[in-house]
Amino acid sequence: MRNRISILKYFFLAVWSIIVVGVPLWMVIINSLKPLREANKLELKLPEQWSFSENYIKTMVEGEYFKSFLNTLLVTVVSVVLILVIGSLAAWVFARAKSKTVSVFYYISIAGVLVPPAIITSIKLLKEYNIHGTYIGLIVFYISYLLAFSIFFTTGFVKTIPIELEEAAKIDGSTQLGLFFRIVFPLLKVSLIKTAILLVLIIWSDFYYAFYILGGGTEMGATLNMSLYTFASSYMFQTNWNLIFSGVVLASLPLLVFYIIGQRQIVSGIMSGATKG
Amino acid sequence: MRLFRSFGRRNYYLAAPALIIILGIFTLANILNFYYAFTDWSIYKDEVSFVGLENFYVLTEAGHIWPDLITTIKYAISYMIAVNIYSLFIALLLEKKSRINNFFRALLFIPILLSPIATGYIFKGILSSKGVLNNIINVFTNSDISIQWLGSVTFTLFIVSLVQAWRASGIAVLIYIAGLSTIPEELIEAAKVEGANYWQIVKNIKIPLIGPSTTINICFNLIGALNVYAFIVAMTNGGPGRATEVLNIFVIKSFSSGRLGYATAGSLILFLVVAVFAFILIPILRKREVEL
Repeated sequence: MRNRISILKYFFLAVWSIIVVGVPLWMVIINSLKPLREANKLELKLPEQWSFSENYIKTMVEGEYFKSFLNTLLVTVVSVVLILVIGSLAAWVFARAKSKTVSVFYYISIAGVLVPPAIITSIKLLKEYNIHGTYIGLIVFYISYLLAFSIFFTTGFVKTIPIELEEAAKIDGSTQLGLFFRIVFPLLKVSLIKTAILLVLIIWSDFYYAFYILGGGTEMGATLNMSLYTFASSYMFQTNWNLIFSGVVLASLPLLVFYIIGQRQIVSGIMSGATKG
Repeated sequence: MRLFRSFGRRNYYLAAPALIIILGIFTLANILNFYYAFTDWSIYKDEVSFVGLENFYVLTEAGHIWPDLITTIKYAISYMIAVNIYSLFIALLLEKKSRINNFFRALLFIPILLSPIATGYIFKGILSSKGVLNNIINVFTNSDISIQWLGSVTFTLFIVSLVQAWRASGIAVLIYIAGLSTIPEELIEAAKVEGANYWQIVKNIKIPLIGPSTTINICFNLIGALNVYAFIVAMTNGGPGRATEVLNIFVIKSFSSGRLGYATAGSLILFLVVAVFAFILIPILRKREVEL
């Protein structure tokens, strides 16, 4: 009986996974390999005529693929690293302080977890600071908004670390900053990995903020998603599905590769302490 | 140097970088929203002057912002319900630790690796009138339909919300599984001994005891969906008509046409809606969490 149920369950899961994950991915990949007329029929058949190199070379060249990729990588890595370091410094302060004033600042800092950034006035501020339309401006914006998540997750985590560890180091006469990087930061590993995964997913996938902070132009090569949007929009009038889909494949590839390499850590990282905080 | 030392005994200064950058942009921008929403700020004038509630009146009369607000709320609630029911269902199927379950968890996680823009284009291909879905239906039923899944004034909004749920469900499933794994095995065994069936165990033990996971999944998903932009842009761009025009689309349309006062008014309304939802929801859900 139990066996039969479990066979039924996995049969359902297999069919379901094919429908919800397999079919959409297959559709994108297979139609990105067809010439225009065939791809526009939007069928799941194998190509009668393969058009791999034509589609992908055109997409890579016109969409300035490598430039987009490197820009996205740079923005994501710099933002995530800075958010984790600056955020956990602040989280350490907030977790250990007992003063009321400090906890007011804690709540101000984590507001971004709940309320959205104000895009129009943020653009105005970035213009005042002379960094609107630049990658530095975009990175600063991400940090300002997403620090909330890093502080929120990490503060809860620091509270679970026994304070005695820090007091022992204090007697050694270490400075606060030294104490933080020698003792506290390494202990945050689990929490930092989880936060980093979520931040990478958010920043890498972002289109809205990147598009308007980098100038709202239709400039190719700015980030992967902006290039995909600009590229696809220019082909949407004639709906060249083969090129739109090869754009989708190329834009999605880096994160898929990243996932295949680190799949185990990513899945368990998200589950670790998911119910805390 | 000595001053620095004594100051350094407290670690407060280490929070300064975070506070400066948060206050300087995120906080200040949200505060400025409360001012500019009541001005005639636009790119066509050099001066910005206070106009009171005029933006909100004009927006009401022109009939855009309130329907957009309703659209946004409908979208977010529909998305939140879909993603939670579906993810909890899948999590219950995959809660036990085993090789095959790990495989399915990893497989069903994949959609979140596609960006909202990429997801939007994929489903535009699936849902267009000559798209893959209609083709599949036609092959199986031997008919020749061409339903415009993205062209309906009533249903398209919900269909787009299901697409977003499709993408986000992988994470929600993992959060539910993490919650389920904290339930002590003895509790389930005891209930089985008492003669409880599977559905009773799910309803009376599992769902009440995964409160923290439910709180996270409801709050973050609802808030995230109120702030939706890229899915809509990629799939319908607010259409057909204004059927899927959410607040962020309104904000960007006003921004692009240079009427920055309107844009900030829309942005302020979005802020207030999210804040109201957050402050109502979180205490309710927290109270309902059953702690062991």
